[in-house]
Amino acid sequence: MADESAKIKIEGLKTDTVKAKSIEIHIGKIPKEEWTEEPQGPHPMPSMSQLREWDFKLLKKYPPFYAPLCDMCCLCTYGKCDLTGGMHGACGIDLTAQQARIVMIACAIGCACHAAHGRHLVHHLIHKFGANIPLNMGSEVAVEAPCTRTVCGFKPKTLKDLEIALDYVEEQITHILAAAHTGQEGNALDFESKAMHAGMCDFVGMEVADIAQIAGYGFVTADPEAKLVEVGLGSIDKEKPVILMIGHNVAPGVEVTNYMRKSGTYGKVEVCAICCTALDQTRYDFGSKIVGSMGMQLRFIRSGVPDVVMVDEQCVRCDSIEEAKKIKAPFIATNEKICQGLPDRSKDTTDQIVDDLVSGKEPAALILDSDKAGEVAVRVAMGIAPKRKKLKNLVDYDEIKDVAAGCKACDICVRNCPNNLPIPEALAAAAKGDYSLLVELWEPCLGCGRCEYNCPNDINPHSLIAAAGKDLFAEDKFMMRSGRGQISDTEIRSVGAPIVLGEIPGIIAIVGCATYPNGPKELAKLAEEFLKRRYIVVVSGCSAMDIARVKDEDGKSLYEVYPGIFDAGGLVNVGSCVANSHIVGAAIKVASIFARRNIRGNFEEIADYILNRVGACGIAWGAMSQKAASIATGCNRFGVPVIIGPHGAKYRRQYLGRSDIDENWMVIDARSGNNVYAGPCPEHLIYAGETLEECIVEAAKLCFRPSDNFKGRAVKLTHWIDLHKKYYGIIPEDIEKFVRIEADIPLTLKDEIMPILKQKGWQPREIPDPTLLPRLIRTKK
Amino acid sequence: MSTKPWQTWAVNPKLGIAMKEPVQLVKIIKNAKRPLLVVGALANQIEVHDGKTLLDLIIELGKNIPVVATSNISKAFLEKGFHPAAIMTVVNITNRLSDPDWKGIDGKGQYDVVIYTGMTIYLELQMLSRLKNYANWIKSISLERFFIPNADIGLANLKVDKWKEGMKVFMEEMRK
Repeated sequence: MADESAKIKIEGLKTDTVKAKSIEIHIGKIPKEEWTEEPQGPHPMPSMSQLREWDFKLLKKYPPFYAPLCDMCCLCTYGKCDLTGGMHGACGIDLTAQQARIVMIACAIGCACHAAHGRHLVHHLIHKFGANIPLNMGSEVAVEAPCTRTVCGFKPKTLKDLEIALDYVEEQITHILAAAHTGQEGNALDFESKAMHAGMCDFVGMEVADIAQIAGYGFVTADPEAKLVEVGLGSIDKEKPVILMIGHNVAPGVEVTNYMRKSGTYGKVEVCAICCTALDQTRYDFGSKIVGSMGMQLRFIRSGVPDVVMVDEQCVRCDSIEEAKKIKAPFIATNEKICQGLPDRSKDTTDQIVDDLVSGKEPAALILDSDKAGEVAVRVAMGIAPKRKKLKNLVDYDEIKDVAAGCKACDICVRNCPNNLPIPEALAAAAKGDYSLLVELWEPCLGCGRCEYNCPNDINPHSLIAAAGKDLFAEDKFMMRSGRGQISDTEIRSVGAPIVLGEIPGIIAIVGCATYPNGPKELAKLAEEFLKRRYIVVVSGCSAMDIARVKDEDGKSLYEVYPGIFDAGGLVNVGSCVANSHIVGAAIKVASIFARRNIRGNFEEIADYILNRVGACGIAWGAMSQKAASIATGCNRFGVPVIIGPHGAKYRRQYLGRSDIDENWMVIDARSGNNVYAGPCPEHLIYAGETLEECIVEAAKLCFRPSDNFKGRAVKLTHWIDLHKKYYGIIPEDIEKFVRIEADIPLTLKDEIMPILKQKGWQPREIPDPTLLPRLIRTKK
Repeated sequence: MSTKPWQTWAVNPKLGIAMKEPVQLVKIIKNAKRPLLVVGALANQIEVHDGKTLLDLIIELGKNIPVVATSNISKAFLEKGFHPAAIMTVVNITNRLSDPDWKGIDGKGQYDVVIYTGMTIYLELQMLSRLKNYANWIKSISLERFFIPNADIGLANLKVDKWKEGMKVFMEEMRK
């Protein structure tokens, strides 16, 4: 595959209606056809409205449920406009459309983030290694870019080809954002369709970013035995000079490692990172450490341990530069998206920048050259570490006691705490020398610092929590499997049938940010519940790190107990946020490799296949960001349901099915063309859970698919019923909706279930070959 | 006490009424034609008075008002021998409550007064936002000790002891 561009020049044109001279037509990059195995599908590079019909099918089944976070619109100078009580804004928009518009904007932001990240990496890698670097995803991966193939309709072969996919995504983002302007789209369902479009494009942008870095940096790919790496605050060796990186774009981090290797300083400097940069850094350099998820930023910087703070892009706290200054750690910004008002030092010599930062003449620098930033970070860390030794300590208990005594119990901190944590009670106890309540806040504290910004008495609860928990700091040390990248075609061949028939009860994808209602340790419980039941558990991003934070009796994390293979009982860390594309990619590969469906430019059919046949459920228990909104909405368009945590209700919109309305659950039986009741499978496309226990029960339920064969449905019912009894204390009250024939009922539960079915007047029904697309009916009536 | 929303960011043009005493809610609940209690997962963790939890109060109220147990609180109810009228997630019940055509748990039609309690505060806030904006036939009440402004009627931000004391009086009046 290679891109081609064309220029057509017409000197003169004369028809019945047109008379023109000197016309030039420029056609940008278009894929040059080399993919002969599959015919082009109906929707290569679909425009914003081309998949609208599919979206509307989904939105009819799963109507948007809006719960406004803000009842007003403040996007233009007509307003603010109050949209409550059926009022319309000055532009004519109503509350429902406004909610949908905000969600669409969030999805466009999220999609733009990943696409821009991908664009930066592709530019950088082409500049560094050349445009013709092949996209080699390993010997067991022939379907190298399933999302791109499905959405864009071409097979990328080199780094240069990825630019074509990015061109497409960038154009779509522009159109989507344009639709948000005053006086553009005004219908909620059409905003939702555009949000789904952004989400779908996001999967292309993410896939491009990840396969570009795999190809360019030689990351491991499709490797179930990717190495174990260290994670946690306690894994950082503070006796060495410490470089902390924060963000998502690994390019400068790679150059840190390259410089250390080149200069003979490898091993003499501790390189660690927060958020997805950490995950990708450990795919390049297994000796790097993962500090933790996004919420660790304030906690770790304030510990004084980092000698240098280097940021790249996304999810970086806006005040990280101020926090770095407070601990006298030089701050280096490396990406155009985060310049922090700093002078651009990219063209200065490395010696000049290092001198300025080590001497303290300048506290920070913007260096938009990854190679230079990498070298500067290492040399500055080595130069400044000896001067900073005394700064690497948290405050002691006496100081906590004195500060806590100043609390007036006004409750402003708890009222500003996203998790409503009982901070005043903890401070009152600390003032009396009892630090146990402060220590208890260590786990559920999100690390946002809002308690401090709002305290009228200048108390710093967040720092006090960190200081009170300093013993936990040292113990916070775990092992996790580094990101493995794609799921191999071989793995898909092995699990395709059991997934589609339901004999592997489901794929549970635990992904996303770290805004958990009760702290990160819940995630390990969630993962283990499904691992023990031999679901395939796939993880990525901040969630992948946080799952590691619990040890069993032998001191092992889940990663040390469960294998990294994409198979029943496997715990599969695909990598950073952008590696989420491999999770939907795996579902596409099931359609392509197992079911031999053509995926090329064939989004609608593939999404229909996934929705009706691939029992996967995403869980973003701490979803916070616009990127998470975009990823979740993209999953939904691909037919994958998602559960978000209770904070996720603040996204304003969920897609909820109504299991009590039978006509909503009709599918077409592709064998006969008949409409058949298939039950509420899956019941929702995206919904916010209240507790982790609920999330576990509902995730098992969301793995049901209309296509499950009786053996598979029995396996799925076994787990769902067992979990329902375990956590809800009772057999599910709507069980009749999920039993199609008697053979669906697990043998051991027959005596219990049959009387219930009888009481409810249950009748057997056929198991369809399900689809929502009339064009897939095989027998014409 | 202040009647500003407990969560300081929950400011909107239309805020509900904050009552200073739980007992002020009694008349509204007793006058309801079809009331419903929606009870969240924290109900058995919230202490009230005389060694009881909020869950115990709900069981008592449940003799006259149907109870929807959301999330895993059903287990705690069942362990105490109380079978809720329905067990469903809070988004499912809230979604149905905002459908004018829904026939209710018992098939007899929609509800006119809905009381939410025992829930993660920000989730409850969002669920009540749904009812505020999409279910104008329902009068929504929050029994939390925090002012949740998306309920039509809630309680002012009360200190724990005052709320416990208030709930005791509330129950005494409800029993009459």
